[in-house]
Amino acid sequence: MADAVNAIKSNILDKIDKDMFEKLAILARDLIWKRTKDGYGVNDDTADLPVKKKLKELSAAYKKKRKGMTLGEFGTTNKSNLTLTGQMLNAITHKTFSDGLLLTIKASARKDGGPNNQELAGYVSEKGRPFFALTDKEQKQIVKEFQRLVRELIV
Amino acid sequence: MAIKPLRLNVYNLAKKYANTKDNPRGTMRVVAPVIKDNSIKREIGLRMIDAMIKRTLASKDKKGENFKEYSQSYINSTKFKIYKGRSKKVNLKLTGEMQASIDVLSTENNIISIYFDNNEDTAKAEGHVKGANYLPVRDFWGLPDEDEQLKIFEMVIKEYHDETLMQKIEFQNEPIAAKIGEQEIEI
Repeated sequence: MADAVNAIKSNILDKIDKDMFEKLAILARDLIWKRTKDGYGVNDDTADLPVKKKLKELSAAYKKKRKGMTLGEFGTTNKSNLTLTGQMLNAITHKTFSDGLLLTIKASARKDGGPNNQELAGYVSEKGRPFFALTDKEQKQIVKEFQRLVRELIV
Repeated sequence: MAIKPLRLNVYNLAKKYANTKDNPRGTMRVVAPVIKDNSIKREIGLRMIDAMIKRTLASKDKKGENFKEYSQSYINSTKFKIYKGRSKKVNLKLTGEMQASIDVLSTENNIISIYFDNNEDTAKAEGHVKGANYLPVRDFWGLPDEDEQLKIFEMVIKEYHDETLMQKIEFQNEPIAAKIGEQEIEI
């Protein structure tokens, strides 16, 4: 019995490849992008797994400044969803390896100059709108998708 | 009343599986010890969940009927557009949290119990199953049909045990006469 289980494990490990991590990376990126566009970041309590939390409201002065501007996708004057031009969230990218994946925000220059997208993401997080993390439920979705893909492999 | 956990008696499922074979009693003798293993029961439960989610993602309710379409106001909402883009497919998946929260909660006493692992997603599911306010009934909360259950059961048995187990099952199904050789006696 133990030999059979070890054989299955070895067979599965051989089949887990970059393609699988590519699927998971796209899922992870989408989860963060969509949640943020929907107006939710994460709590900044690092003692536990991050939890989804409504992003801090925009200030009245900033709302006034945004009025009449052409905003990025799903950006509106009053909604706090880290979308002014949309460049920062669109700069979320990923790399995959044979044994895992990495999500990052590209340090790409912004059309309006100033800090690059990675620096800006750090800035907004420090200023009370952390978003670049996977919440407890998002992590669960990724783990379940990974398990489902593994089950598909052994069918 | 809250929706209840889905319960699957794995022993009864094993009996149904055995009944699909030529020698049910012999097959049951081989399979019964295997299904005592909790990891096997859990795996069977997880495959049942996979099948339920697959059915839901294909827009089918627990009876295999199409879900009622989403309302136009929901389709027009920003939230819908963020999470689903241009897709109008009715699959009860927006953030993905509710479906990911379905889990095997226990496998005690031959009963595989499937439910949600948190109250928030249980409430969401109840809204779909029973309908609420302007939400129509879209009852996805049901185990796969019996044929699918039997397929899953056989698949797990095959995957999690070396070939000798399946050979034992096949052996049980061979007419005893064949074992006796020249004497044409069937028992």
